Amino acid sequence: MALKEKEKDQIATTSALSPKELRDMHRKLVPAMIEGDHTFGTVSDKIGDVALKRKTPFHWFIGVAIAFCVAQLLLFTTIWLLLKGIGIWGTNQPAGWAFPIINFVWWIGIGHAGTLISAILLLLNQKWRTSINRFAEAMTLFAVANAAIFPLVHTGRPWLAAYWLFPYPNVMGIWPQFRSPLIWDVFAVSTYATVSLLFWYVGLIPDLATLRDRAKNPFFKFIYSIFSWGWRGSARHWHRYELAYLILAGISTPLVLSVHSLVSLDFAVSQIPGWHATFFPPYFVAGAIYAGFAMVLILCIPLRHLYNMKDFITHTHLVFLRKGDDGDRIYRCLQLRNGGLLRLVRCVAVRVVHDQEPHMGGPILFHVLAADLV
Amino acid sequence: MVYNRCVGTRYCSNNCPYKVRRFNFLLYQDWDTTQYKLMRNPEVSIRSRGVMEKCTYCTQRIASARIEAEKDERAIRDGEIVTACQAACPTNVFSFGDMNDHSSEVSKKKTDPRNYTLLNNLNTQPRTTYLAELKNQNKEMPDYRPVHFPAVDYQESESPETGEVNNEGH
Repeated sequence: MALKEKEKDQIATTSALSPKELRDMHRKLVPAMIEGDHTFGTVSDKIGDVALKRKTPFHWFIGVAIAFCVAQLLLFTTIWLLLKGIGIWGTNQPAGWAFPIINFVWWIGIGHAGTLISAILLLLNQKWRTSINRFAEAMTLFAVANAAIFPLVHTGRPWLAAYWLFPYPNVMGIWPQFRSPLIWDVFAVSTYATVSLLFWYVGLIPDLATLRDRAKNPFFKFIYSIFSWGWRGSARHWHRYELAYLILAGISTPLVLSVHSLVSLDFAVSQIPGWHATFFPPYFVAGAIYAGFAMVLILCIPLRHLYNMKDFITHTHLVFLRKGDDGDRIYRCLQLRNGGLLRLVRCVAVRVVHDQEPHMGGPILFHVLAADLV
Repeated sequence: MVYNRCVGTRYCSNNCPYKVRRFNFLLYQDWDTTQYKLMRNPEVSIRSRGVMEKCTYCTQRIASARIEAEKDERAIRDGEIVTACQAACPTNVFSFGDMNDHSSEVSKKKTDPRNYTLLNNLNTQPRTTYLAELKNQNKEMPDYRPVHFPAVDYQESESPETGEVNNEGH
């Protein structure tokens, strides 16, 4: 599917509109990102109270109980795995990865949305990201941590793989095989995890300072003080903060694309029919973005209900998050402000995905189904 | 294959176009029973779980031959290393030796027109090669079959214009 005729006309006539018409169109295209009567103070109150309010809501305990049970299951199965060997998964010749690689690819994919929302949408000046970027980044960190479990436990001897896969100067003089995509993976994922953590933390500093100023409990005040690094909100602080944030966004943007490309190279570099395919990197990245956005929705819909954040995570946000619901709208979520470059990127992407590479329609359909189910 | 270094990522097995590699998914060997130790070849390490396995061309026999040759300050002689399969084979089909030594038995066999490789078109450069079957060459006999040369057939099936391999009829 190429661009619809109507859209083409719209794009063609945009430049002929008067500034007032453009403004109206802009208002129509960009609805309010925050609902209700809010000032800066009420927004800070409402969000800060979640962390500072004494009473822990009941649903929090339910969530923790479920998460605790599942985490115990993970602990139990991992210990059993370490005791018995990976034969307990029932994997066998000739597909030796099976279960762990599925989990690895899936979790890495989930981990993409956080940095995508943070970095790329920041660089593209998409203001709607601010409501959801923090927990999307946190989701990224946990997803990457989960993903990191699987390359380790999938190995036959994880007690050795834990450090032999890293290039460190050892007395044996042995280095890992740098031509192997598995080593590229080690670098890609650890870089991604580090940059994501920094991005999340740097973005968090002014918020931690807000919490520090509002905290009543001296212990929590102390903790927030340490982690907010003496933030006072001066113009110089903000200047440096914005600069650091922008630099980190610049570093993370290529990482969003590189990490899953490298993961896909685990397959694509091999000689196995069905794996040895050049479309794997873009396919993995596209799939990861879908899955990641879906996971953001899974987390954000209960969150906005349970913590009554519907004023901040509005219906508009949910609509933007599921903009990838149609084959030719993959990059629509990035294209909201109608930047010329973005339109170009989108057209190219649509062409590549749907015109030049018609066989990709099938795999994408699955992602569409998954996204729509959410 | 250095078993002591293997951490068991199974990447080699996944990517092996021949699918010859086998993995110790569980601990298959009994390490503790004392009398089994007498049964085992002391020169061959017992592979633990989580280690990939592959034919080593009897690396322990190569090593001992190399040590002997180094003691005498000479090169390893052709036929000095006899692999286990070679020693056990009743029809003497195997030869093992130095491919770089053009007078060795294995090099001579590799120049035979019946010599062929498996999947060499993937640039795997396999060192194990095979000789095409040889049936009774007496045309009067019922089991007569003309000798064929797979490597020559393969060369001829290659299209001269595109260089692509014509796989039809294989």
